[in-house]
Order: sequence, then C-alpha cells, then structure tokens
Amino acid sequence: MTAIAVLFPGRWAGDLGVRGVLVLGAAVVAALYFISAPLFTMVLSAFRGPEDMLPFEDAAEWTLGHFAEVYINPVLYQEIIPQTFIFAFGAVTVAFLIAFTLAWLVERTDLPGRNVIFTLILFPLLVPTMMLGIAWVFMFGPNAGWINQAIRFLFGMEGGGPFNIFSMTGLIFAQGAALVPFVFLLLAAALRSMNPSLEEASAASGASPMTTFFRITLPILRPGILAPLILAFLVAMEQFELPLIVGLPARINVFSIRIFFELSPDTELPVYGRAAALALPFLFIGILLLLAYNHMIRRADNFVTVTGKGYRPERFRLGKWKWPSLLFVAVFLAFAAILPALVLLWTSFFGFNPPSYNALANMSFKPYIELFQEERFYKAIGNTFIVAGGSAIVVTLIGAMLAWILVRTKMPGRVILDFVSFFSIGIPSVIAGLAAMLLYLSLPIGVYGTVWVLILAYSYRFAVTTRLNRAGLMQLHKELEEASYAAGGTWITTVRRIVLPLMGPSLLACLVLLFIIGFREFTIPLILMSEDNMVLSVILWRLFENLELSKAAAVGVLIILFVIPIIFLMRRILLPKTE
Amino acid sequence: MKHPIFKKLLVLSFTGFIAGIFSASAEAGMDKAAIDAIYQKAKKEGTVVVWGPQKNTLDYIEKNFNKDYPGIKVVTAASLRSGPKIIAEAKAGKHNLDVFIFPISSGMLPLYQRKLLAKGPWNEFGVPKEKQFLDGHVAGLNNLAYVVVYNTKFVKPEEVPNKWEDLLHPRWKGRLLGSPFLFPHLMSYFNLVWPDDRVAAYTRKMVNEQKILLPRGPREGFLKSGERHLVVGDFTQLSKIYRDHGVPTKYKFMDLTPSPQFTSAVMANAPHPNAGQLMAGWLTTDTAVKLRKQKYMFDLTPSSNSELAKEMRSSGTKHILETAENFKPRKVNLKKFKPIITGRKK
Repeated sequence: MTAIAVLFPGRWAGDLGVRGVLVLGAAVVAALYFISAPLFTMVLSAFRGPEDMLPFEDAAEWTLGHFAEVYINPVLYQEIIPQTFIFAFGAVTVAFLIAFTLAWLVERTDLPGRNVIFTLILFPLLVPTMMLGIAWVFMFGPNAGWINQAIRFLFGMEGGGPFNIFSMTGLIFAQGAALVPFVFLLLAAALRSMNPSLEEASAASGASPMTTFFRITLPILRPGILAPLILAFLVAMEQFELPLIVGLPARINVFSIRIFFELSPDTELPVYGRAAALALPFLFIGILLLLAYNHMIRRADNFVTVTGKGYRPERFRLGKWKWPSLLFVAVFLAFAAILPALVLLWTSFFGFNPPSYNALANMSFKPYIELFQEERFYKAIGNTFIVAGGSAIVVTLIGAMLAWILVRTKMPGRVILDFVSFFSIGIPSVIAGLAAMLLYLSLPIGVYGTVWVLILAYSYRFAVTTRLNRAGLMQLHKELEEASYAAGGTWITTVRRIVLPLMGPSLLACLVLLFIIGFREFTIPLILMSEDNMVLSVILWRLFENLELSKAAAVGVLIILFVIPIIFLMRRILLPKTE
Repeated sequence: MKHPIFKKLLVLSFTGFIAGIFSASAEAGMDKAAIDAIYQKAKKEGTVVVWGPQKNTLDYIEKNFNKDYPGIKVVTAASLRSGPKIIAEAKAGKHNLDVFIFPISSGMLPLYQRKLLAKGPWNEFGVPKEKQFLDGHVAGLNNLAYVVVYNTKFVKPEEVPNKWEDLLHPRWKGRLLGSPFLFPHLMSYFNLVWPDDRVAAYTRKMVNEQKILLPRGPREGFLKSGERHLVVGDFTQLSKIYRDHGVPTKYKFMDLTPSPQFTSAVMANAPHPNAGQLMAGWLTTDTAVKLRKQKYMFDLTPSSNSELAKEMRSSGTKHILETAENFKPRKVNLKKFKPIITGRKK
C-alpha cells in the first residue's frame, strides 16, 4: 500500500487497490508506448539529414539544415503564418458557431428527428477530405460549379460565379463545414451530460434565457467547450487537404501545405526530416494551448453537474422556433453533408458527368459489381472493421484511464502525462506510419504486415480521448465514487458500474470519432500495406490514383453505408435511456 | 508454274520465309536456352512479387505473364510511396519484393545508390545497350510524354497552342489546370533548355496571372465539368484514358516534350531471384511491349519505332528524355522553381 500511496497520494490511494494500480499503470505504460514511437520519430527526424537520406539510415547525420530551410524565409513570416492563422481562426469560428447551435438543438431541445440528424451531421467525417474538397469545387467552382450554374440560369446571369470556392472565404467555409462534425461530436457529449437543474434554478430566479445561457450554461460548460476549440484549432492548422485543393489555386498559402510537398516524392525520397521540422511548431502551439486550457479549468469543482442527487435532463421546448431551427439544420446538412454525399453517390454511378436528365441514361452499376466480385474487397471490409473498431476501443479506454488519473489523482508526473498524450494531435499520420514501420520491422513479435500492426499504429491518438474524457469526468461529482467505496465497492467495480456508464456521452463521442477516423485513415495503412492487411481506404486511394474514379466513389459510398449503422448502434448502447 | 495451287503454295512459302526472317530478328538477341534455364528455376520458386507506382502499370502483368510462363504465381502491389518502405525493410533484413517498376530518377536511383538492385538478365533477353541504365541494373520499359491535354468542347481548334509560352496569352486566364506534383517537374525540364529567368518568369505568370489551378485531385473531373479547359503538362496516356472515360479530349505536343523514363529492375535480395529475373526480362519482350501499347504506354527513346514516337518526331518537338545524367541538374532546377509554385517564394 505504501507504493500505492506514493504513486497516488491523497485519500484515493486506499481505494485503488492493487488491481486498480495495475490497470492504471498498464494504461500509462500503454499510452507512453503508443505515443513515444511516433513522437520520437518526429523529433529525431527533424534533426536528421541531408534530404536525400532517410532519417533512420546509417549515413544520415545530425543537422539543423531542415530548420534553416523551413524557417529562414521571409515569406513565411510575411505571408504564410498570417494566412494560416486567418484560415485556422476563421474555420474554427465557423465550425464552432454552427456546431454549438447544432449540438444544442440535438441534445438540449425537443427538435424532431434528433437521432437521424445526429448521424447525418457526421457525414462529412465519413467522406475522405479530398473527396469533400472536390465535391465543393464541383458545387461552387466559379466557372462550372453546379450551384453557380443553377443560380446563373435562374437569374439570367452571365460570366463566372456568383460563388467562388477558390478564395479565403471559400476555404474558411469549406474547412469550417468539414470541422463541424468533429466539434459537434465533442460538444454534444458535454451538453448531454449537463444537469439542467442549475439552469432551472436560474430561470426560477427570474433570469432571462440569454442571461442564464451566458452566466450559467457557458461557464459550466467551459471544459467541454474549450477542449473542442483547442483541438479544432490544432486540426485546422495542420489540415492540408482542403488548402491544397481550394486554397493553393487561390494563392492562399498555409503552413501545412508545405508538409504535403515535402512528403510527396519529389525527385527521390520524401523528406521526412523537413516534414517533421514543419510539424514541430504544432507541438509547441499545443503546449501553449494546453497550458491555457489547464489554467482556465483549474477549479474542477466549478464544472460538476452530475451528482449523487438524481436528475432528469429536461429538453427545452422550441415552440415557434421549431421551424427556423429545422431550417438551420436542413441548410447545413444540405450543403455540408447531403450534397457532398450525393456528389459521391452520383460519381459512383455516372462518373464526372454533371447532373442532368440526359446523364441518367448513362447510369452504370459496373463499379459496384466489379468491387463485389473482388475477393480482396471482402477481406478489406473485415480488416477495416477490425482495425477501426480495435484501435477505437483501445484508445478510448486508455484515454478514459488517463483522464481519471488527471482528474482524480495527484500522481507525480501527471502533468507530463497530460502533455505527452496531447502531443499526438501534432504528429502527422505519415510520421506515425513511418514510426510504426521502423518499430515493428525491428521488434521480433511478428505483427509487421498483419492487421495487428495497423491497430497498434493507429493507437496513438490520445489527444481527443484524454481531453474529452477529462471534460466528461469533470462533470461528475466525486461523491458518486465515494458512495461506491463506502458501500464496499472496489475501484474497478466503481469505474465499471458507475464512472464509465456516466461517462457514456464522452465515451461515445470518442468511440465514434476514432472509429470513423480509423475507417478513413489511409496514410498509415498505405505505408504498412501488405496483401494481408488491406483496408478499404487503401483500396479507395489506389483506385483514385489509378483514375478509376467511379469505383473509388463507390468505395466511398460503401464506407458511409457501413459506418452509419455502427453510429446508430453505439448511440443506442452507450447513451442512457432517459427519454 | 501454271497450276494455281502451286502458285499459292509458293506465295505462302515466301511469306512464311519473310516472316521467319523478321521474327528471327526480333528473337535473335534472346538466349532461349539461358531463359529456359531461368524459367525452370523460377517454377520451383513458384511466386514472383512485383511492385509498381500504379495499378494500371501492373494490370497487364498479372493477366499475361502466365500465358508465356505458366506455373508461377504473380503478386503485384501498387504504391507511389514504395521507396522508403523498400529501404526500411531492407535495413531490417526483410526482403519482400522481386521486381520493381518505377521511373528511373525518382524511384530507381535511390535504390541503386544503396546497392539494393541486382543486375538484370538483359543480355539473355536481348535488351540493347541503349535501353540498359545504371550500369546494367535497370532496363527501360516505356516513357511518358508531357503534353497539353484539352477538352475539345471548350477549346476551339484555332485556340490550341503550339508552344508552352502560347499559354501565357490572356485568353487562357482562368482556364488552365495542372498537377501540383507534375507542374514543378515540367519547369525543371524546361530549365534544361531555357535559362533561369525565362523559366522563372513563365512560372510566375502561370501562377499569378494565368491563375493556373493546381488541385490535388482528378484533373479529369475538372476538365469534364468545364471548370478548367486545358491541362498544362499532362501525359498522352492520360488523355487517352480520359477519352475512354467519356471526356472529349485531345493532346498536343508542344515545342518541348519532357519524357520520364519508366524502368524495371530485379532486387538484390529478392526472395524469388530466378522468378524475378524471368519477370524483369519478360517485361522487356515484344509481348510485354505490345501489352503496354494497349494501355497507351509507349517507348519514346531515339531508337523506338512506336506510333507515339513517330507522332512525336513528326510534330517537330524537341524531346527531353529523362536520364540518370540529367537527374542532378533537374533536382537543382526543381529547387529553384517549386517554391514559386508552392508560394514559398515570390
């Protein structure tokens, strides 16, 4: 018990027991293991060169050349960095305003069709970002965008436009829309867990809904709002797909585009060192944001909303606001979710023919038939479910344990653990893939080339799960756990029967998000690819590179169809039945 | 010789004699006994693994190799990112690959420099010296040709350019498309012929004034929809593929035609070395050449008589063939102009 008291000082020590310590210890070791390989690879690669040597080769040398090449450039400071911040702030603002409104409507009001709307909002997450970008260009390209053509036809306009996706405004809205599902998922978890009694008390005291919202709701939700904001900002900063498709043609140059160019085979080999040197600032920005976040949520007791006293979450009645709310939801879903999905569906049947009555005659099921005739396709489906599901469960559970350590204990080094788990968001997938390749080529455990290496490689994304589960745990009063210990429950029993069920919304958000990310991740499986571990995203990517675009779109459609029922099921299983 | 049947027999015999001479010429360089010996050993190995950049460069192999050499399972894998994987696996002592197909400078050179390639069976298969590169470690297969590809629905015949600099005309503003990967390479080839300031000016005008669209996405879609009308620096092969997909495209050779060289090589520690030698050799045979032509992949080296080579020469274009020798200057050129395209330099 002495060792436990040292590791977990405070009154919680006695409640943990040996098993509790082993579980938490295993979670810490696992988290450090999963994240250390990509983190070290990234940091070391940034200092290994020259550019025509891979960082792990014997002939590579220590160098600051990559930093000099990247950071000694006036254009970086005059143009690229300012544009990057404008882009990231703009996209996060758009995403947050839309996502918070949607999350509020879905989780706190009597909006009809909430479960369907919840699933539809996640659509953009299911569509590979590059295809999303192409869909946006097809819809809003200034010359031949389908929406622009329809508007010009309706209003008798000449020339290009009126919308031009190739602009900073276009890029901000496209990226903002792409971020909405991510931010929505995280905000919905926080809003769902919120006990409305405080708001009811405020209303009963005579405060207006606006006053209650700004003085009660927002402060209580601070951890649940800040976490998605920070994560969304970092995600927006390191995104390069949409900036490449939409931004570069408009000469909008954001920082992350350079990562793509360093990693795309130029003359010889990808320059991992320069890509790592480019990605390192994201770690520092992450540290600063996390410091700010920790400072703002340092009084954990202020954010508790779930206590031992039972509560029934009441939903606000929209009344006359029902139809405007539905309109808002419909407009967002139409542009950000349904239209891109329809573009994907259309492309799978008709190729790149613009929608028209005449084009209907060219409908072809051939892409689907050819896919279903390939044995490799079925194997890929199975592999994808195993890899996406397995890594989502592993990372969610470990993230929940890390969150418990951060919120409930005073374990020495937990601050470092917090930062290290957060670093994962700054590591590009390609570096994570490279790290996994090097690690599992050298470890004699026989996983290289199997689906297991993919599960292990995917399992480094702790930033979201730790943040989200931490926010979720902060909403639970510790008296709930104390009551269990007082009744003779062990730590494991308490976590299993009380903590995890009450953390259902945040766990669901993590599982859904990681499952979807696992489903569409293609960079890591491309690097670790073998005949035995082929996944759907690799098949899609290879079809895309091979210009079999209808077939690639068909795979994209099937990915959406596979994931939707999983989201439904997860919501049913993990959320308490309170309605 | 008055009897008609006798005349027919004579004609047939003569025709057969002439055909025999030609086929003998085509096969004259091949050492059939040596090839057969390789085949017998390859059959015992039972499998051959081939990697290449894209599926369409490998499809014809899976379907046809066994027609000439049955009893050997062909396993292919396509990835544009094979280089680091091969190097990392070799460093760890894992060798999963027998034959590699890739352009000479972006794929083969790094492996050659790291002694990861074996010498191929080029002499046994009669591959002429001018088609052997990197000290006999790789053999040339086919070339790509950088051209302009345009949608005939949106580009009038009188608008079709003849020179790359014709695209700087104001009529092309907002109508051009390119690849963020290929366009910088095109500039690097131009710089082998044009001076620095001319290439720099061209690059700047293209991105800043002509607003060339360089999306990371299918150029076919942008061409078909009409969002853009002409691709600056696409390949003849792709023009034909776009047409097969229903996009009304044509291509045109410009005043300069850069031309990457696709090659194949046997890996130094191939797990199936004889099957690898057999496959690499088979890729250089007339059979494989014909199959690649059906996929619009042609040999454009100076000695080639392929249809595309003839068409290219008759256009009067200056052909800039990729070689291991011009790789270094192109690498230097790329560093000069890519930052303008990616916005890192004004």
